[in-house]
Amino acid sequence: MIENKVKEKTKFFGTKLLSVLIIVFGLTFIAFCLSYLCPSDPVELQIESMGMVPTEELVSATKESLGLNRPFIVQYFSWLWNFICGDMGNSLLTGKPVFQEIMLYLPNTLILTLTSMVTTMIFSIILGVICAVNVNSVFDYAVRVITYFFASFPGFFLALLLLYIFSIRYNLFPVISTVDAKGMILPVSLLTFTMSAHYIRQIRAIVLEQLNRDYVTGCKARGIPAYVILFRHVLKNSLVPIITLMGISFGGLLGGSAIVENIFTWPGLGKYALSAIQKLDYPIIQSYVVWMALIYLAVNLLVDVFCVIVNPRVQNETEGSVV
Amino acid sequence: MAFSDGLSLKKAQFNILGIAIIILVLIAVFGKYIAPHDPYLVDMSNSLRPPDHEYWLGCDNLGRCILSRILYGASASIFSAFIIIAVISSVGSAIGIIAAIKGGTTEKILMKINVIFQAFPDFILAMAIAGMLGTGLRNGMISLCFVCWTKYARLSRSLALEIKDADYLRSAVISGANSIQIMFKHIIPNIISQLFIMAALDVSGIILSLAGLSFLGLSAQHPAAEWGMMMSDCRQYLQIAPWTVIFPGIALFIVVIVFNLFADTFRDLLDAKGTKAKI
Repeated sequence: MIENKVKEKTKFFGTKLLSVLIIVFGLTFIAFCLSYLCPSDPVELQIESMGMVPTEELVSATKESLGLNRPFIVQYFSWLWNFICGDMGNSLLTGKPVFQEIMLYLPNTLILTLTSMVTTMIFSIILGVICAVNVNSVFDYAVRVITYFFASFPGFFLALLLLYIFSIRYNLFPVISTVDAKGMILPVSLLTFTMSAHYIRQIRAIVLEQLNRDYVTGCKARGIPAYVILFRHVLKNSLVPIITLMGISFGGLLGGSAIVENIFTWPGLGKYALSAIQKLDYPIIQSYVVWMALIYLAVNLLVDVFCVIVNPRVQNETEGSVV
Repeated sequence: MAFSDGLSLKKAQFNILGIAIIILVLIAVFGKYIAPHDPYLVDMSNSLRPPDHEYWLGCDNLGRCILSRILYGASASIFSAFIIIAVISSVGSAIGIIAAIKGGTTEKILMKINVIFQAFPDFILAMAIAGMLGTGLRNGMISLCFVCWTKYARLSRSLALEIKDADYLRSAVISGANSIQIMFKHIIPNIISQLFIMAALDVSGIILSLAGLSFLGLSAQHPAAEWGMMMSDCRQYLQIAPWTVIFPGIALFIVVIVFNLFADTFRDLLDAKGTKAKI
């Protein structure tokens, strides 16, 4: 029996691992193809940016030195191999290694997104549970209206308003965010607000669904106090859908961080990447896209593993997950 | 009471929101004709002019009438979103339905491609594609099409799989109907209402993403009137001329919330099965 279970688990994680490998292959391939989307030749642009005239000989010589004359698929695999080895090419404009630059900015982005994730979870679990327990009360109704309002509010508009009110009007926070607690307050609260607007509604629905289950009625009939039912049973059972929700929407948070970093001038990867995108510096764009996708993938893998550990039944219901 | 049951209340709400949407669409169509001034006319004597009786919503840094620019920009936001939705919902659902009908290796490959596209954070891939294609509203739209089709493929596949084994489909197959006939005559009519709900729920998100791309300077180009770009252009004047940023923002917010409310009511009315659970 136990052996069988272990076998099942190994098989489950084996297929997961295989599917992750396929996904990583696929997503690096798409990221690699990005450089071919550019309507004008990036090599010519690079030569022009160095102040030279892109003559035919010069272009072909540069292509030769960059290895751009080889067959497409050979280029992809050599790019992938270098990527795995930590060589993500050099920036076309500054010539600096992309990997070092990314490692410089990535921690800032991670600090911002993970902090926002934690605050969002705390904020929305508390409000979502209160709303579900007091369903159709004035509080519930008010929270629903406010979350609806914020869910439709453009994030960058809210960011500008926050910046105007708190940084310019009242001068409470720096306009250019610094990587410390004070500089983080505005970007983190913005991401928390916009994310919570979606979360609170969904967590409310998840908890409400659990509260209507038969086991809750059974517990009530046995005279178990309401808070014990809530904390020991309902919240425990709501954990898997809530964590899954968190994993899936982490992508939205990473995307949102790109806008937020640019508005609050937070020195993160999103800001660095946007300036690279504007200058068509494609080695940086490719690495940025791959890194963000890998982080999203890793978060979702962790979520899957966590859910299987908490609730083994999940193993058979992986239909909706990202991985 | 007229609204004694929830359904008729919902229907009334649906009608009101439907009228609101029609008004927004009419503004988007006829915005050019009702705009009081030329939205592209640069007049430095009106630079950052506050709202008054002549320029109701004031002027931006180049002295262009903000109300006129908002009216011109409505079509860029609303119709672009409609076009994107039309493209991604038809392409996405075609992929999903083909996967469901063919089954086997075709299904596996199509769904793997779907999962690979889902592995990217949506907005980040859209930023990269829009950036590589070069700025311009059309390129911003193309980038969102690349990114947003995946949910439609997943939804239509799961819906098609549900009815795939129904007796009427089997008898159609036995009577010699080919895949295309099955797809258009039997599957699509059965799942189209669910796809419509999803498309309606998607409009506001697409409008916001497109405005976000423009805000970052990756979609609409100067001097086009696009709400996201108007806000981004004037953000440095927020302190001295807040109307330059606030009015385009409010316009965007109104459009988004009207489409959200409409889509939710539409879902509640049509969808007894719960589309959201299957996404």
